[in-house]
Amino acid sequence: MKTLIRHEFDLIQLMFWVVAGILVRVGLQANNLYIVLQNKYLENIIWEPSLPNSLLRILTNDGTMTLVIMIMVYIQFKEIKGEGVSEFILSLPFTSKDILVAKIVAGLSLILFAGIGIGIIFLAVNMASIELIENMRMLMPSGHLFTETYTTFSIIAMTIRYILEMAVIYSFLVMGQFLIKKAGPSVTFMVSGAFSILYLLAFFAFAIYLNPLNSGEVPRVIESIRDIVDTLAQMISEAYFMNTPGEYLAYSINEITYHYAVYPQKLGFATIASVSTIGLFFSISMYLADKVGFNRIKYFTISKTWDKVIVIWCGLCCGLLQYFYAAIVKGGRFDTIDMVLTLIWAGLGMLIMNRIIKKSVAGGE
Amino acid sequence: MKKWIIMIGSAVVMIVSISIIMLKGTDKSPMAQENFQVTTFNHDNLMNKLDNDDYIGENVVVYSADGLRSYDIPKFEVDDMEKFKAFEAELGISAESPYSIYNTEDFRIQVFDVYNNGTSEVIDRSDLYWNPNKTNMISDDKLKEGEYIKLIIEHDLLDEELSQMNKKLMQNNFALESAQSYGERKRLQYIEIIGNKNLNIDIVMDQNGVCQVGVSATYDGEEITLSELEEEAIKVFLAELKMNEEEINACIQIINEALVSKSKTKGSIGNFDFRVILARANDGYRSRYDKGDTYELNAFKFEVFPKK
Repeated sequence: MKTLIRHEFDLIQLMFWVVAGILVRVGLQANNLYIVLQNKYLENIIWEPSLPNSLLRILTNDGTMTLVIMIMVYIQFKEIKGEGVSEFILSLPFTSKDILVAKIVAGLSLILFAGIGIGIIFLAVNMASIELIENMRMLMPSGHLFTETYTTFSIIAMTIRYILEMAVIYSFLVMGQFLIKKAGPSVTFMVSGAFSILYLLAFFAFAIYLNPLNSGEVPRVIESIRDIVDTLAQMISEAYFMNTPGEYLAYSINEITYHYAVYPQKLGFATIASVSTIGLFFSISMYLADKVGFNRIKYFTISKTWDKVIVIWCGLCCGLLQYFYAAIVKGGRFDTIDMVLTLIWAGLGMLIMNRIIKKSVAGGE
Repeated sequence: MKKWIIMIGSAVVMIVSISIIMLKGTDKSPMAQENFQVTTFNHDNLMNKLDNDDYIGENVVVYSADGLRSYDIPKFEVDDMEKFKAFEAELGISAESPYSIYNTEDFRIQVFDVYNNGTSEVIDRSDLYWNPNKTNMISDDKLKEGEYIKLIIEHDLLDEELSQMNKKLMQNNFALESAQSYGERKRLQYIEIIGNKNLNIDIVMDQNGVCQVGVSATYDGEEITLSELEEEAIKVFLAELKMNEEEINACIQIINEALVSKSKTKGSIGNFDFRVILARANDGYRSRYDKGDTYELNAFKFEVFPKK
């Protein structure tokens, strides 16, 4: 097992260097926040810098780590899914489960390396700034409320949530390797599949053009669906993507109330949801590793039905392009010509997807 | 069997957690609320007059609000001079002499000339000559085109503690710029009226009295040190921390070192700790104050406080 794990670490060695580079960049960005804070302090400006929020923005405004995870999953599974090498690896005295566990250990180690590195950088910046921040807060009305909200623990909680966010993405992509035959298309389709859900949900945002009887009015059914979609989107971003709902601090001077939005990072149900989702994705992966292994998928996906679903889904997404064009670019109603064009785009999308699937099943990577 | 338990268990926990997040929704009520009453400046009557648009022409610059109000009125603008005369009449002052100080019950007014060296936004105070022994003298020559008459009006403070402290610290080369009295600590901040360093001195108080004195400045690349007048002013503030003469002189020395950017960043003097925060043109400060390729601006803040 040790040899297996070492092999997995060797496979993704380059990724560790890339993450080290990301840590250097995050360090420079965090240090820049400290410099800005110092400069404001030099100008004797009294303000709440909300340092944890600014640190959080460094993480949420950057998709590099997600890209690293995507590449890592591809590297991890490319070898074992390749024709020649897989036979050799699978002939060794390891079960598919052992191999998967080794891969997960290596993958999660990289995520932990990134997360702990980021946590150390953020804590260091917080420690360096806290005295200046405290000095400003002591001059602010209700400044102590910020101290109670933005604690050192909130930085630790943020780091834990970041690690969990990355682990959710990783476990999702690992699970994808057992749902789609090839390593590369698996990563691509899992990511684009997730984005396509957002794309389809965006359809409801433009639902104002959908009511042919009463133009400009959103049909009630669509409105209800939109509400559900909004709630779901809010809940998913809250549970998995560090979107902390705003809370409010308030004080009043001469009966005029001032509100400050704060975003405290906490460990709560969102953390439990993340951990259980990671557990679910990994346990599905384990189950599928037993059932279909790394290279026993016959079709493009795990079943012929899912191949068809992907073709239809792709057609639907392509067809909606015309709808978005009519809604955003034309800014008008969706007319008969648009309807015809939608069908053409949908057909074309399905045709192309069908060819991709056929080619992928017939040929190699 | 085990894997099914893990899988189903994870799914159940996930669904339950997400449902709880959904049910909780977003709470819009504030986490806490505290109430304060205005305790800072006593400027009700005067501010009403000063805020009247009649007095604020295009060339009248209000560069600071709150405690310190400064109006720069170009001498050569006839319209503004008329406004200025009205202003004088309203406040019962006269700017016949180049520099004068008026103390009233509620506020102090300083009137003096400032030579503007060609730029309309930045007042270059380096050409000022001010002799504290000759209160009526600020520049040697008569006013020229581009010169300003500047009014500085300092209001008294409503907060008793701050008011008492302000009266103790009031000096002719510094004016009260702002005051904070809402937090756990209170602070008075003073700005140098003449000089080329944009020197600020602030004094912070907690329930035990003065707990910190800070001196900050922005200045261009030249090596400069504190003038005698500035040193005297800073000493008055440092004395409020109950520092002895030796400690005060050590502080002055550190500030002078900071002005040429060679100072230590942290340390202690007797029973006090100090820190010096330095910012140079190349570490982010430049973009905000850049005045050209050759221009360099440095900033520093010296803070001294009793050892914790």
